[in-house]
Amino acid sequence: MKRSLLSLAAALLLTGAALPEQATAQRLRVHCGPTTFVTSAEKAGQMSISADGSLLQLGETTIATTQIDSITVDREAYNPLAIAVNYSKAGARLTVPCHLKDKLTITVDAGKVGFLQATDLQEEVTYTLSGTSANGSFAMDGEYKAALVLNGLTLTNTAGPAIDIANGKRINVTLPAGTTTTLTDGAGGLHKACFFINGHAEFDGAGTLVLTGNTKHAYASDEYTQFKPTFGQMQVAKAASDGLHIEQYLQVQGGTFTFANIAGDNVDVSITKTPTDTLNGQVFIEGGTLTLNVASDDTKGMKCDSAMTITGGTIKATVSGLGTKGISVGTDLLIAQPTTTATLIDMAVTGTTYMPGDALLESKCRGIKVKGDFTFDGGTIKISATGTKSKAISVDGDYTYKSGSINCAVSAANM
Amino acid sequence: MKNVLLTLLCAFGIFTASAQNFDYLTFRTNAGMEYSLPVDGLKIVINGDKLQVSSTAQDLTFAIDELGCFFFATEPTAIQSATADDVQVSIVNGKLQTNAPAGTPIRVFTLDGREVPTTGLGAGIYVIKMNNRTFKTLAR
Repeated sequence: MKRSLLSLAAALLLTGAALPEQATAQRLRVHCGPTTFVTSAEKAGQMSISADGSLLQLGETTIATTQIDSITVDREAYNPLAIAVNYSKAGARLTVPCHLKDKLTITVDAGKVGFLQATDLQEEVTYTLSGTSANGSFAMDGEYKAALVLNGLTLTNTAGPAIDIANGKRINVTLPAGTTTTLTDGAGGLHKACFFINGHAEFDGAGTLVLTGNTKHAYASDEYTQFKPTFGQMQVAKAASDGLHIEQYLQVQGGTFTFANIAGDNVDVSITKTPTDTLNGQVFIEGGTLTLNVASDDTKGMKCDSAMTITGGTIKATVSGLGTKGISVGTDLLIAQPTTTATLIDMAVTGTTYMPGDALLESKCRGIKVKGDFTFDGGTIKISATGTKSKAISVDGDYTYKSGSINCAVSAANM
Repeated sequence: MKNVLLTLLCAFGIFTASAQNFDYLTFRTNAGMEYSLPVDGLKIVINGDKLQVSSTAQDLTFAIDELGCFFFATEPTAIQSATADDVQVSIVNGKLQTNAPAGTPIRVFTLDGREVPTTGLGAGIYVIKMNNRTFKTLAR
């Protein structure tokens, strides 16, 4: 008897987990121009139209009948917190759960889509973007964390950012495996990046993200950005300024990153306006592979205002521009290999001096430049510095070797 | 072990059975008549003061001020008015109403087969026979 009860409890738990809201097999779809409001057959309840014909009542939601083109039914699974935006030549089409209707201000103008979440929207909504638009954009603002799924989206905005998330909370960005999302912005704009997140961003999913920043940065976040172990691939195809411009801190736990045609730094991590913000100005590389291409003069491959900690993953860099730095650390650098994830720094430094002789602007080429102390405790460092007056590693403070393999000289104030 | 397996199967059966398929939309008028249409391929358009429904089974039009509500159902309603074509039957305030031509023989029966007058009808379901056709109608 006891065993049967335990089995029943286990089965109830399992089926409860497997059959959430999606248990209902039909959705009512109310088509209102480019936006379709959906509800499940169960939530729809007894639907009615007001006596004067002006309002359709669906559960707790009211829709003006003047906005309704038609009502249909499908057999898709209903997710009460999922919003879909599909772009095409004909414009964007949105699917929005009915119960979110009054908590969102939705704007749609051909391919330009905007969502403003009301302050009383206190649930995590997932926005899934798909399709293709040669003149489209996605903007979202709100005061509660949200999620973004870039499901094979190709979005070009000729006059602004492709994606602009003004929401200052946690934004989870997922790239589903097997998909490639390509975002491109227009040149000459006033925006900060082709793909901008005001809050803190967490990236996962094994898909690919290709970014082109024609105005300024390709990607920017005003708070920390994390790339999870499951993250796939980011290709920065071009940036008029930095490839990735991140405030607060950057953490890379996985993923493959490549950079090309970067006018500024490949990766720039700077402190925020609030000096006491956590881990402000720091970089943490714990996995993944970053292939830096530092060709523009007086720029850096990976730069941070504060400390950099590399404990896993691979950083490859071609440092060829004048006065360029493969890695530039504002304070202290730690390179180590505390786990089974190998740590590898592999650079070819061929650049020479930028503005030689200029008292203010002269900048020499370095593989790694550290303004504070450098501690090496595990992993492999392979740097060849062949550019005139270039150096593999230059440390303003102390250099401490504890363990690891290194094939180049370290120039430091104290060894 | 056998008991454990049987218990697990029952639990899964209970929960999978609760994932219902609402295959019909039922429209209920203020007069109590109900019409069920299959949801696949169904489309509703609000056209002025009319609600127009098209489906694979049939097309219907309701005056909005006569439509009470509509809802999803797992089975088609057993109570329908005879509006497949030109005849309409309903019971309002205990009195049988129809658009059948005057003088059409009409007989009203309770569900247990008793014939009753066409007026003074209490709440319940009645069977109406006219012109060799049979209808069911709800009196509220």
